[in-house]
Amino acid sequence: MAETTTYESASGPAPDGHATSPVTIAIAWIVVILPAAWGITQTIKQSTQLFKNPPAAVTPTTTTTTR
Amino acid sequence: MALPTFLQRERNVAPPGYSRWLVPPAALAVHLSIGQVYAFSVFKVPLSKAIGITKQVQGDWTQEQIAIIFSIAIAVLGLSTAVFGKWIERNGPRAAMFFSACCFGAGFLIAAAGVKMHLIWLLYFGYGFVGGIGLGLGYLAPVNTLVKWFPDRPGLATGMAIMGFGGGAMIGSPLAIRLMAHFGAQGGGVGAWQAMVVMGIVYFCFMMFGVFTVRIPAPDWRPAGWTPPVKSVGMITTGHVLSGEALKVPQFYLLWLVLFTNTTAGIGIIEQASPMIQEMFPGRVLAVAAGGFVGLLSLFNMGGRFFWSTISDYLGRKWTFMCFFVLGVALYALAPRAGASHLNSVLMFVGICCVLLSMYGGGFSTLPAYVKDLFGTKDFSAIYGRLLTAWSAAGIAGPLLVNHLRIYRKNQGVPLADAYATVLYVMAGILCFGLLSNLLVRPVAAGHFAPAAEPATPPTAGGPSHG
Repeated sequence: MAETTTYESASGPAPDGHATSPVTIAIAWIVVILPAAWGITQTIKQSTQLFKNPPAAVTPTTTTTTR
Repeated sequence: MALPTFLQRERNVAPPGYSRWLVPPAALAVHLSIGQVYAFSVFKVPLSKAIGITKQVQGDWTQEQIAIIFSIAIAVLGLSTAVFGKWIERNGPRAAMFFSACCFGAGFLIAAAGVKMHLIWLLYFGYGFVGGIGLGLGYLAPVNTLVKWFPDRPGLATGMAIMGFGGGAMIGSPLAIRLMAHFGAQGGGVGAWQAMVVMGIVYFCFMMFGVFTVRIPAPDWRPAGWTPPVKSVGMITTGHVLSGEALKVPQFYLLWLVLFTNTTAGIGIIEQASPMIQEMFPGRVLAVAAGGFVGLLSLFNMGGRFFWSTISDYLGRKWTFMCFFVLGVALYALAPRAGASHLNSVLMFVGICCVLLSMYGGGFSTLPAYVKDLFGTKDFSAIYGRLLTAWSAAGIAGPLLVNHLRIYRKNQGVPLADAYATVLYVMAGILCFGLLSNLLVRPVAAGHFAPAAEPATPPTAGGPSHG
């Protein structure tokens, strides 16, 4: 049976290699978070339309001026 | 045919020190891209005016003709996951994600040519068929990889990727609208074919980021501090069922029904969301606000994918699906009461639909972990891929059911606001079948597991074990 290797870098560098830099991990996440955040912002802006009151029906207005 | 060296499975085994936290962004790059398919409807109106530009004229495509493109894409997605599942398992995620990017990008370019030449069959072939294969390959490969990298938190891991698929429409929709507006303003007609060319190239490049970032764990890898259970606990197995054997056990078909019922119910709402809320609250919710409702559903669909699958790591997959079905039945049955002819509460209706959509998304993201729990990971892609045919079937059944029931009730003279009550009650009934199927799921019997020594996937023979 093969010897088990546990080189999860979150807990430190690997025994026989160099651990992935936290900067690399951060950049990788930023690459996907930026477009996702833009999309979510656009969607939230659109969603607010639901809670705006519909425009009032246009009815002929009669102006009665009493002087 | 031999794959180029950089795509070969044995070349993509993670070296010591590689952090598994690079895999979710790689998966997200692909899922955020292919999730664009949910935003295809933004092309519907422009494509239906491709000749007339400002209005539909003789020779322009109808919306029904255009809607077929989406249906083909979703059907091919499900079928290609079933067909290519074993191939993905054999060749690894990098090859699958590479070909996914090629197919998805090429699908856009072929479709753009179809719009330019006004040949609808080129759109069916391009975006529908070629793009659909890209969807299938791109959907399955990252999920399969994450399950292997996160054996300690499979729900969380697959939730992250599949959340991207739900969120893809949020990028795809405004991107397409802005591109079409830009090219349209420059005298480029409706701007659809130009937008498709740009999107094809942009998505291809974005997916390549995922292709070159993803790695597979070494066969003997495990997370630091995590000890794999030595024997099966409850629904979670330590063995591996091979794909051929999986088709012989009832659990496979029960999971198929679980996915089919959960998806049919949710997809019915998604497909009809905008007209549904306008017709249930006539005069109160107008088209613009209905667009906001669709956006809100997308948010909950996406959020639910992460939330529910993460919860499932603690609740267990079976109990998470029980929540979907029990809560789903109650909410579908309650939704008609919120309508204009009863409580007339838009807020209540929106709230109910948001929770339902979160569970629709949650079903997709919890299923991979359910499959892993029951069948192990060796033939994961092949088994999970075949299960996704339930999605294709639901993609056809859900909208058909909703539209036919609505028209049937309308023809009986029922006001539109009330016609949806029948639809929603039927959806509750469908979820009851899902509940029953989920209740019947038991651990796979020991006789169906592969012997421990028998590898289900080719060993990385001859290649270096760490890259």
